[in-house]
Amino acid sequence: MPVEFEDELGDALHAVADTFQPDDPHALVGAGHLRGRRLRRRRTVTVVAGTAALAAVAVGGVLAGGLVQGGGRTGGVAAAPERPKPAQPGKAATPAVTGKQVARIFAGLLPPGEVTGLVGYGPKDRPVPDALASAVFDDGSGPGLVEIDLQRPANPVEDCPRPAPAGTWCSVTHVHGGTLALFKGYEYPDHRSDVKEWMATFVTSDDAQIQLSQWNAPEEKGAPVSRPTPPLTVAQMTAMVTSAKWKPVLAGLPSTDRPQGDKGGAPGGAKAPQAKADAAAGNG
Amino acid sequence: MRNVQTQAYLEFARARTGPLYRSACLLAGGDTHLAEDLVQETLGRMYLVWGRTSKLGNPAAYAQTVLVRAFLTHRRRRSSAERPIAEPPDLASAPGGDAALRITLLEALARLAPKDRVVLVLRYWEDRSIEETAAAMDTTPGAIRTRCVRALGRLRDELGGELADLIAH
Repeated sequence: MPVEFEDELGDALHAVADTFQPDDPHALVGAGHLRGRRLRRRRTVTVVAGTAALAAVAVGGVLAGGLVQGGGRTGGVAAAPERPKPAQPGKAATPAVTGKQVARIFAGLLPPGEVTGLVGYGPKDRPVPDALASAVFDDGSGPGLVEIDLQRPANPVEDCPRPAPAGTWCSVTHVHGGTLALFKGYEYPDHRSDVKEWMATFVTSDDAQIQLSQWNAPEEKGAPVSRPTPPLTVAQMTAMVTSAKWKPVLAGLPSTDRPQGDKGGAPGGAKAPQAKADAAAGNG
Repeated sequence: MRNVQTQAYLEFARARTGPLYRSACLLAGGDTHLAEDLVQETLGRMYLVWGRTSKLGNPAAYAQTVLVRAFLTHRRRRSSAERPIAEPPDLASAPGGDAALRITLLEALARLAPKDRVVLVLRYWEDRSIEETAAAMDTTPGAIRTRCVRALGRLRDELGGELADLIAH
């Protein structure tokens, strides 16, 4: 390829690109900001509830037997709660987590069924601090997209929307400084489609977050509903986000310092005012 | 997000909306409606990670990467409903631009595969290195080199000898 063509192309792209100006840049910024707030709401429909104590007893064993304590069982019978030994915060000098590693753990935690389209991303193979994996999972009743995302620090915590929007369900447990939030809702809050999104979010005692999302369709948006509800039960979601198998992934995430004074994601910590405002606006 | 962070985010968004929009227009082959949607998605994703960007090095470059991925995700979702853009309505309407160059180049870009378009925009509009382009597209430098050569060839075939003439005028 002659160098001249590459030079011409560069000149041409600059000449053409410079002719594009957004009609209303302020509106574009506002719309992007709004979209970000909606995305954050969807990621942080996590809860700190004063009524969590009783529920904590119910699931405390799962947590203690899983990620918090470091036990081997996932989603099994509750073990006796013990004081957690938090995973080492992400102080890795260089990101160590690969997408393959995340995908392998994710697939291994899924219950029996058909797994297709398995992908994983880690900070070692792309310039972002999160690790995530996704796949279409079919337990025999139809395919549903399942995704998991791990990050540190955790996102700010929000209360369950009250009153609960129609057709949604929200719950929280608060054990050993960690928070498990469960949410069942719709992809679109206005129910313009029947695609449901169920989420489980676990915030560890050392401010890491594991969040699982699943849909009753093979894609988050744009695909028809393939089953009545997403494929994983609450118990299965809980087992996946509290599994001890995530500990090496969390330990390998790059350290991303929380901005000074921001305690938003600390379990049981103060809630950021903006997060409360977001919660007041709906459940995204 | 705390107020001070929100202000910093909005400042960033105001500063980067123009460059993001111009990149998005090239990626979208001149479809300004799609470009606006991609910029909104990018700014939304940046809001999510804002406050955690200190370790990312360069938020502006990160935002461009987010834009590229938003575009590729959009194309994957829309691939079954692909519609060729024969005569995009906005192409010739730029004030002060060379309408012929604009139409010719954007139409040629629109006929390329989305990943080919991304490689050319990243390399020759954003002046990214092979390695940076590979990181943005989640692939290897070798794959980028190969795709880049092919994409340049395809674009040259699409344009014939028009590009130099159009720039010269």
